[in-house]
Amino acid sequence: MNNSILIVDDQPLNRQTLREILENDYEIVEAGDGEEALHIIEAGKDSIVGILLDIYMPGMNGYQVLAHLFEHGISDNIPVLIISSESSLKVERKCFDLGAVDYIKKPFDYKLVRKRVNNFVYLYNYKNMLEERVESQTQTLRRQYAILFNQADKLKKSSLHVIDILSNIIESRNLESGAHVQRVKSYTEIIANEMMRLYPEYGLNKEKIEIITNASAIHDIGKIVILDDILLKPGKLTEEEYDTMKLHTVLGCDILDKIREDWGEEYGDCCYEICRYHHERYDGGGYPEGLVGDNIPISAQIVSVSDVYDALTHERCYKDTYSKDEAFDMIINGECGVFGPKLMKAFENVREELETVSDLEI
Amino acid sequence: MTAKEVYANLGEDYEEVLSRLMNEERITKYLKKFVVEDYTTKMKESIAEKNWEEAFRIAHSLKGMGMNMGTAKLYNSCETLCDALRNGEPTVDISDMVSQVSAEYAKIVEQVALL
Repeated sequence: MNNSILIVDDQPLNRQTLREILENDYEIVEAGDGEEALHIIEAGKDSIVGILLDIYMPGMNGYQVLAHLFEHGISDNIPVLIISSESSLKVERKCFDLGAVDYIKKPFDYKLVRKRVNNFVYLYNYKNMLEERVESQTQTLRRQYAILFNQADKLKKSSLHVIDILSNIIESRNLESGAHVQRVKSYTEIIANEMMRLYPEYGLNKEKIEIITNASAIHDIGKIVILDDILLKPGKLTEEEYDTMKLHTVLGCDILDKIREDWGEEYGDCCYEICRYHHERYDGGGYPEGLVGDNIPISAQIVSVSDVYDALTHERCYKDTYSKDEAFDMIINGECGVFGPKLMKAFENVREELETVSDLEI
Repeated sequence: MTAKEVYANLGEDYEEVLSRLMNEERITKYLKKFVVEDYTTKMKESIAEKNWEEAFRIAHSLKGMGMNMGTAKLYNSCETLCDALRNGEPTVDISDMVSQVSAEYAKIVEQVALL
């Protein structure tokens, strides 16, 4: 049982007196000098709940014992009470400076010595118990954090897997080429990074940008439920056909809603935003909801301009391509889509990077 | 002879000691142990060898035990000697102080022998 008191004094009579005061409450261990005391403490510090220490002893004295216990942090957990007939304040002060918790002056009074020792043993037991509890709770928290981190990682992998599956569906229906998807992802990443650098107010960071970039791959997932005769029609759509075509944003969200449970919330939300709002316009003239300005999620704004830029610079079934310069001017001048001024600033800044990606043979 | 009588003969306050150590049996036991070792002889030897540190330590121990045992004359004389020895070699003549301590201790030894 952890209930030993170590009595350190060179005079047997003093040790006996203290032993008899305390032996009803504790196991008593005795040391006749400082060295012996340190050996006992070294071997049994887990069972010692208090140390009574004399100052003047042959060999290693009480100050040296105190200093050793202090340096090794032992007096943090075991209360050391000095017992002395020394009435000098200087000596008393020195003992407290060296980590003693109490200074009991002779003559010994049975009841008072017992009370003082019991008080400190109780306090230190309580303090040690609290420290252990905090330590064990900290470890529990660390373990739980590790588990959560692991789960977050798994969730991220499974979210990416879902995006991959959906991208493959889009590609296999020839709705978009794999190359288009890759380029839109690249543009999205480049523009998002510039937005993060210029405009911290959007709260973009590396993790969010990674999610937006991956999610951009399925911005047109809703097109898989649009019939081919509209989707693949060469030339201009009728007004009716165009209205049907516009539905790909909300229909895409219906698909995503059905699998929402199966992937990470951040991925789910981001894909949903991009899918639903990538045809909104900054002036409120877009669809499906006609959102205005920064009510349009920044993820959708960025993917939108990436999508338009790629549509203009690469051939599609319903139109010819424009040169990179023409495409750039059309977007900046608001001839193809309407985008926010901040987004346009970022778009201008990264023009060369976008053009490099556009030229790549993917 | 009882412990109470020992204190009376020494001119010390028995009731004070009893209030701290709680019972007479214990006081008797401690008194007997107190005189087992011949402290003053050892102390004088240390002084003769000019081992001031050891002499101080013994005087200090004797003072402490004297306090515990409630023998005021002994511990007061020890305290005077301790102060003289505290910083090593004394700057005053300590022979009277040493004699005083020895005499007080001898009286206790003499009385305890009668217990």
